[in-house]
Amino acid sequence: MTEPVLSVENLTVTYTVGAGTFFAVSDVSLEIEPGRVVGIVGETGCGKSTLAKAIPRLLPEPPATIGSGSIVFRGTDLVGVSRRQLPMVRGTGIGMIFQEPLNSLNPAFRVFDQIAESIRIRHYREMGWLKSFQGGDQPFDYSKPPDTTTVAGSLAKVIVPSGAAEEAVHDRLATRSQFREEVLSYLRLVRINDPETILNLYPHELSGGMRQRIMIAMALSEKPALLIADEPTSALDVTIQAQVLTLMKELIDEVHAAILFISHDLGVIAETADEVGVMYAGRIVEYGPVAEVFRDPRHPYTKMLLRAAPAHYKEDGPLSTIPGSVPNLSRPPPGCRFHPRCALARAVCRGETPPLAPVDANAPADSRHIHRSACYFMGEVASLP
Amino acid sequence: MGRNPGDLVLFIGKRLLQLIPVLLGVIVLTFVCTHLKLVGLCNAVYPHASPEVINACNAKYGAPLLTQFVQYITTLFQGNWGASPLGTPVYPAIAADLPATIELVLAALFLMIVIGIPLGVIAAQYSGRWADHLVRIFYLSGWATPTYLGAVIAAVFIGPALGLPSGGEYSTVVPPFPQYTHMSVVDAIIALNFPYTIDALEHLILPASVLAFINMGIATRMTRASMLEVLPLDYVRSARMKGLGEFWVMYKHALRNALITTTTVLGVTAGGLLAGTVVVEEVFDWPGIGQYAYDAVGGGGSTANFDGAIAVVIIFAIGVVVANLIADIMYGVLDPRVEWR
Amino acid sequence: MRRTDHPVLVFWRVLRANPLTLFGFVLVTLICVVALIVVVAPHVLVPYGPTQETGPIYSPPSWAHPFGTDGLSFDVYSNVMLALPLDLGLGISVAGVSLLIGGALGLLAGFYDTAGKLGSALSVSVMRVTDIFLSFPSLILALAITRVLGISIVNVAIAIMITWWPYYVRLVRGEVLSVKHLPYVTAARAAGVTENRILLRHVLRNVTEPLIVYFTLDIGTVLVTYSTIAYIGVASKYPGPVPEWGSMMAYYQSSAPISSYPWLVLAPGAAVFVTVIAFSLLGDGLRDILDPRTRRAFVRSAAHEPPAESASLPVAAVGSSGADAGGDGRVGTPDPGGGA
Repeated sequence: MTEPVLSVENLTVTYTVGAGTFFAVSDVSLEIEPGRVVGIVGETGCGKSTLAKAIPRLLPEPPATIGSGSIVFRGTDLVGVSRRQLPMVRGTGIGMIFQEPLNSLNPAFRVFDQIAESIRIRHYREMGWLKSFQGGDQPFDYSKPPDTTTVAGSLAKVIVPSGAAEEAVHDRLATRSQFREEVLSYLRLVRINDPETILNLYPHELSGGMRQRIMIAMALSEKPALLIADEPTSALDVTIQAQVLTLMKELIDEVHAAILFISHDLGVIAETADEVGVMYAGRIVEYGPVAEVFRDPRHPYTKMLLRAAPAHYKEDGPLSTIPGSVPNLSRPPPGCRFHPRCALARAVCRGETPPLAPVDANAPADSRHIHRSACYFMGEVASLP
Repeated sequence: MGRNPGDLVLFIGKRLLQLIPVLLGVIVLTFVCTHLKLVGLCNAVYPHASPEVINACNAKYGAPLLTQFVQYITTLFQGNWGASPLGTPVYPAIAADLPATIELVLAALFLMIVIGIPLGVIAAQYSGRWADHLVRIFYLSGWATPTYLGAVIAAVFIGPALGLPSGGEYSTVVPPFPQYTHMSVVDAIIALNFPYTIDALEHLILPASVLAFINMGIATRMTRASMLEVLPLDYVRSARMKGLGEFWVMYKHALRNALITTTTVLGVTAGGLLAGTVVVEEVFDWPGIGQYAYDAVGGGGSTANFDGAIAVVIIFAIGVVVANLIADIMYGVLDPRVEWR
Repeated sequence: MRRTDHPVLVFWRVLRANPLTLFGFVLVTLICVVALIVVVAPHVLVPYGPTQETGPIYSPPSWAHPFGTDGLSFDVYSNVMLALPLDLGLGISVAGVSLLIGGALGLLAGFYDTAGKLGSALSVSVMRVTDIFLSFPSLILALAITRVLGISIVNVAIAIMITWWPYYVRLVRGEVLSVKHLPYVTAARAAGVTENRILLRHVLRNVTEPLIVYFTLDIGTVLVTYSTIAYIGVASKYPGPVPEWGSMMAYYQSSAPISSYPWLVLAPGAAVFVTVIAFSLLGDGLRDILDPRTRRAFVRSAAHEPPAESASLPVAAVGSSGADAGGDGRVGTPDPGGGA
């Protein structure tokens, strides 16, 4: 197995608001390897968006606090990185696509300026003109030319079609026209038909789907080692959603970055992700390869979520729902957080929190990529209606 | 789609046309307000004047209102703005004083922008914390300081303490170079006289600072409010995720959008700045229109100059209208979502 | 819209949210109490009369003369205290009358914007006149008007009022226009509620709060304008039976070398400053809650609502605080940005 790009260990994020504390993310562990897509799925308010923003330390602290755990990105624990060093991790290290295409582009700047800014940041770091992140035992060094054996290098492969890597870095962005060409290449990468025109437009002159493409181009233009997509299609119309999703799927194949894909839509996750984590009330309750989890769910919540998905609703008859409501995260229920709504709940579920244990009893307990479930009665889940 | 520079010319032209009714209204209003009390007007205005002056005044202001207005507006456009009781014509005096006031107001505006706006950004960045409270105390102090108090403290206590002069435009009454623009710093620069440029700046800094301090509140407050509106938006997060440092995130991405609202408010402060010049110029002996206004309304017990007062009121109103026009145009230029129509 | 919070409770939460607002409130209360005492029982706080000779001239601050004495041996402290009711009263009355006149006109201009031919014609003419008035720096116009009316305290007050009401027209009209098309007002109209009832019940109630805030800030602004006119010498004269802070400063500045006797100008100056900043701290703090842009920050720090970042938190997690937020939301439902 290759070295993971990102490895999140027992991460807990809380919000302190007034006198109350909200446990938005509790004890979450994740690992993403280069070229892999990990999906996180769950209801609104399950903490998936908080998790996505906590990884690049984008949450305002306070009110958010990273209570415990570590976020190791390429060998460096981001929890310990100082506020002043954080920008060096972002962009070229971790890129992000946001949910709202309406607001995620700055309304005051033209498309060209926004993408050019990203490219300039990456270029300056590659050239060593801007300080890059130094810290941890595996420092980033953006002054090095793209190396096709690494993640960043394989990204560069898409962008720089040929030539010696060393030469490419030094000559590629020397002139204005080369710079412009670089910006255009990213617009073409996200399948924009008329990039020369789009370049000079302001975000408000573009449609939602177009803006989201620009957003994707902007994130990719920094060649991030890890790309976090936080519900990138949720705010779009259904038809546009399909287009952007198709684009994302194509790009995933072309760009061999590690991707964390957040969505509330099981269908989207099923189409894009390699592995999926199902979140409920701040915890990952089930994790594993997408096909396996969706075919044979081993947590009652996953099972009910799949049943409630509109795609599942084929025959006449009532749309299935999950009884009860999402728990109050300032006073989460003890033990398994799903037990108040669970048909399988017994006394033991109210006691200790069930660990995320392998479904296959013979599998090694420490493996991160096999099918695991946090349910004491995972064997009985299949018997549920 | 898009906006081209040709549309901008049309946009500005239309805004200029919209000025005309407002300016006409200003003149009518000035006329009505200053001719409110016709009985005994001349005695009230020139209490200590000689009978000749009173008679001349009565001849001028005794006619029916409409006749007076027609007469008033024709002379106004002829450049004959009346004269002071001592016979000094109003128009040349005001024309000579105007540049100095423009210089002072622009210097104050500059200070308001370079100090007031960053303070608003800091207050928003640390909203609810001590930096925010300090900024609030600072701008409210300016707000609560009457112009005369600020000017006197600066002229009498702060100026000497810092070794700054607190009167006039230059250390000598007449500078050794021609005054083309009647703006002290600009004239010194045109004459390439470096010592005099420094001297002029030293004379400008105190009155401009007082004006800026007193009027800073609106700019700071508005910047803070717009920044608080902008900061939680996704594009600020996008900028952070690009790997930009906090400085660029704040001052390039967030402030660029927050400024759109702040600009419109800066236009509004023109009224405060111009009104402030009346006292500030008097205290600092700045040879501008504010000092002229102070004397014209009978400030400090001097003889009132009725025609001069009306002229100043009109000039200041034009100043406010033009400032708002500029703010309006700036708004259109800064916000790409505004169509130039 | 049901009130879940008593207005007094909301007001208290606003004060508690920002120590400066609370400080301003305490100071305003104190100043008003002192002004009342000076009017009702002057001897409690004011040892000397306005033009009573006390013996030493230019004596520095001491226990007998907290702000010293001036060149005519008048007690500066007594004069500063005696000026308080006048300055404060002028601020409140001029702002109050402007509020009533401007508020009424603004209400009409906003509400009958599209109603009938006569109504809209009235509305348009009110707004044109307002626009023209707003083109003048009010200080300079008030100075000119005072000059015409003749120098007296009442005339200065009238002159300021003439220049002051348009600000209220603009504020109230903006508020009314923003409230007018809110869904619940449209719903009331659709339900057959008469226009007058809508005007009184819905619009007036939503306009009241921004008006109170603006009025609080305005008292200080009027006070500064009045004392500036007095300083310029176009109002009451000092020394005289009715002392006033601005004219006191002008007199001291011209009669004595103030760098030798700084207390003479600092005492009346500080009196204006303290009075105005008290109202400003209170008004500015209150305005933070009304401004939809700054309200979010307030709600975040004071109420029990999760921050914007945690928008994904389940509603149930917020618990009872949903009602709190609703209460605050009501305070600022109309968009004051439109008017202010």
